[in-house]
Amino acid sequence: MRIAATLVALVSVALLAPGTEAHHSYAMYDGSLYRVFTGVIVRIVPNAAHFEMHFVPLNEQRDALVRDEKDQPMVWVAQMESAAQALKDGITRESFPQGTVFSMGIHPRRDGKPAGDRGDSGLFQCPKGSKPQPGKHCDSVEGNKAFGTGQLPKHTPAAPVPRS
Amino acid sequence: MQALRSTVGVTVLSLVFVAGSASAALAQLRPPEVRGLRGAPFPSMNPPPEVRSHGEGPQWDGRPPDGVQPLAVDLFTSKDFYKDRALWTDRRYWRCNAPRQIADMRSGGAGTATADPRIGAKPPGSARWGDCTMDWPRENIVSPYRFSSAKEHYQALMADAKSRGGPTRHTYDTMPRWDGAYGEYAPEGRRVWNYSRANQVPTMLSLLTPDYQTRFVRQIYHEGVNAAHQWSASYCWPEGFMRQWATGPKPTRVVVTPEVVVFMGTGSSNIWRIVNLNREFPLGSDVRQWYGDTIGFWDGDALITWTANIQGWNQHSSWEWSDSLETIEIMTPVRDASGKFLGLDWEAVLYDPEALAQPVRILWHRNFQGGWATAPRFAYAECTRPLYPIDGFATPVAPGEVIQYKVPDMLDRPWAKIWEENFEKDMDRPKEELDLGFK
Repeated sequence: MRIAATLVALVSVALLAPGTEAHHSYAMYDGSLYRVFTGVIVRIVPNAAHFEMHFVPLNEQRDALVRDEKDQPMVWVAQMESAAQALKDGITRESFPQGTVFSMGIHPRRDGKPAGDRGDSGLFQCPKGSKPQPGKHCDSVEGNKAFGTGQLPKHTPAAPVPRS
Repeated sequence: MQALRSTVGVTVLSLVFVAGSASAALAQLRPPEVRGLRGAPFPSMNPPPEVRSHGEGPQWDGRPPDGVQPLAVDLFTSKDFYKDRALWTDRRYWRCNAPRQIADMRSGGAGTATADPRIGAKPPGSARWGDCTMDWPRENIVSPYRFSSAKEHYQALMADAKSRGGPTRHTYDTMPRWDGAYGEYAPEGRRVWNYSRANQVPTMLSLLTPDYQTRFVRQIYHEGVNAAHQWSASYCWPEGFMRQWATGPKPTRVVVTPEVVVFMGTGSSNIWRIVNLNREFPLGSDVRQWYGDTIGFWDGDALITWTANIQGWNQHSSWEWSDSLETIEIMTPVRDASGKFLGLDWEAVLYDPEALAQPVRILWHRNFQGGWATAPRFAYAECTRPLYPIDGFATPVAPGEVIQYKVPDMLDRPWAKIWEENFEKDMDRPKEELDLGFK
C-alpha cells in the first residue's frame, strides 16, 4: 500500500513538473515527417509558451529565396520549445538577427501550409556571411554553430498525394 | 462677427477658468527639487488644456478662423500625405487640430457616436478647424535634465542618493504605505500631453526623428481622413508601454513590499509593472517585455526607477516608440498640511534615441483613493476580440459571419501593413521592403 502510494506520488510529480509548458496540441503537425530547411531568419518571436522562428527557405542552390505564386518570399513559421528553453540554448533575437542563415528540421503541418514544429531537430547556424553548398545545410559549413543538442534529421519526403 | 465675438468670449472665459484652476493643479504637481536632478519645475500649467474646436455645427465645416489663410493642400484635401512633408510643420496643414481631435473627427470620441461629426457633411474636405491659438509649448515637454540616456540619469540619481546616505533600505516597518487604489488627477478634464489632445501636430512632430514623424503623420492621416483606426484594443493586440499615460490601462493599484513595488492597472488589457528594488540589469533574458523590466531604489520616501527592455509598439492617435525606449520615473508622495497622504507626483523622463529627437518628460499625479480593503474588486481583463480588419476598417463581426482574414505579422507593425494594403496603393510611400540578403 505504501509502495503504491509512493508510486502515485512520483507519477503525479512527474506529470506536474514544469517543462514543456505547451499551450496547445501538436496534432496539426505530422510527427512522422521531417522537412529539413536551410533558410534565412525574418524574425524571432519569443512567445512564452512556444518560441517561434519566422524564416524564408533557400532554394536547393542556396542562392535565392523560395517565393510564392505572387513572387513574394515564402515565410514559414517554426514553432519550438518554450522561450525559456530556447534562451537557455542561446537562441535569442540578438543571436538570430534578420538575415541569419540557419538549418533545422521541422515536422510540417499536415495540410502542407508553411508551418511546423521543431521536434527534436538540431539547429545549426551558418557563420555570418556564409551559406552551404547546393543541397547542403549549415552543419556542413566550417565554423557553424549548434544551438542546443541534436543533429539535423533525415529529410522525409512527403507521401505522394493520392489522385482521385 | 458674431462668431468672432463668441470665440473671443469663450477664450476669455477659458483663460479665467484655467487661471482659477491652476493653483489647484500646482498643489498636486510639484515634486520637490533635489539638487537639480529631480523635480525640475514646469514653466506653466500642467496638465495642459486641450486644443478646442474652432466652432461646432455644420456652419463651421471647412471654415478657417478669421485671419487664417488656409493652405492650398492640407491633410484633408491631400491625395498623398507623403509628398506634403514640407507642409507638416505648418499647423494649417492640420487645420489646427490636435492629433486626437483628428482621430475623433468621425465620431464623438472613443465609444461615442454623434450626428454632427467634426469631419463635416462632405468628408474629408469639410473637416472643421481647431483653435490655432492653442498649443502646449515644446519646452514644457522636452526633458529639462542634462542626461542623454536613462542609464546615465539613473546612475546620477543613485550617486546623488548615496551622497546623502542613501539609497534607503526600507523594512516592513519603515516602508512607505502607498498600498491601495489610485485615480488620475485630471483637473477640469485636463490630461497629460501624451493624450495628444493639448498639442498642435507640428509641436508633437518636433519631438520625433524623421522616420517616426512619418509614422505619426501616417497614423493621423488614416484615422482622420480614412476613418481607418487600428487601435490595439479593437483587435486584442497588446496596448503597449506608453498607453499607461493615455487611455490605456493606467496604474490604479499599488502594492509595496521591502523587495518590490507593484503597479497594476486594468481596462482593455492589463498592466503589471514590478519595480525590483536594489537590483541591477539584466533581470532576465533580453526578450522584450510589453511593459519592460524595472529596477529601482528608495531615496527617502521617493521611489526612483529605471525601466528598459521595452517592446516597441504604437499608441493610437499619437507617436510610435521603438525597442530602444527606456524611462526614468520618480514617484514622490504628496501630503496635505496635516501630513495626510494624497497621492503620488509621478515624473517620467523618456529616452528613445530611435524615435525621439531628444528626451521628453511627463509629469502627472495619481490620487490616492483608499486602501485595498475598501477599494472595489480589482478586475483582470482577458480580451475577447471585438473587431476585425475588413477592407482596412476595424469592423464588428457577428457570430457565424464568415470573413476573409489575413494573419498579421505582430512584430512588424501590423497597423501599418493594413494601411499600406488598403489605402496607400497610389501613394509615393517610402520603400520598406524586406531585405534578407538574397534575391
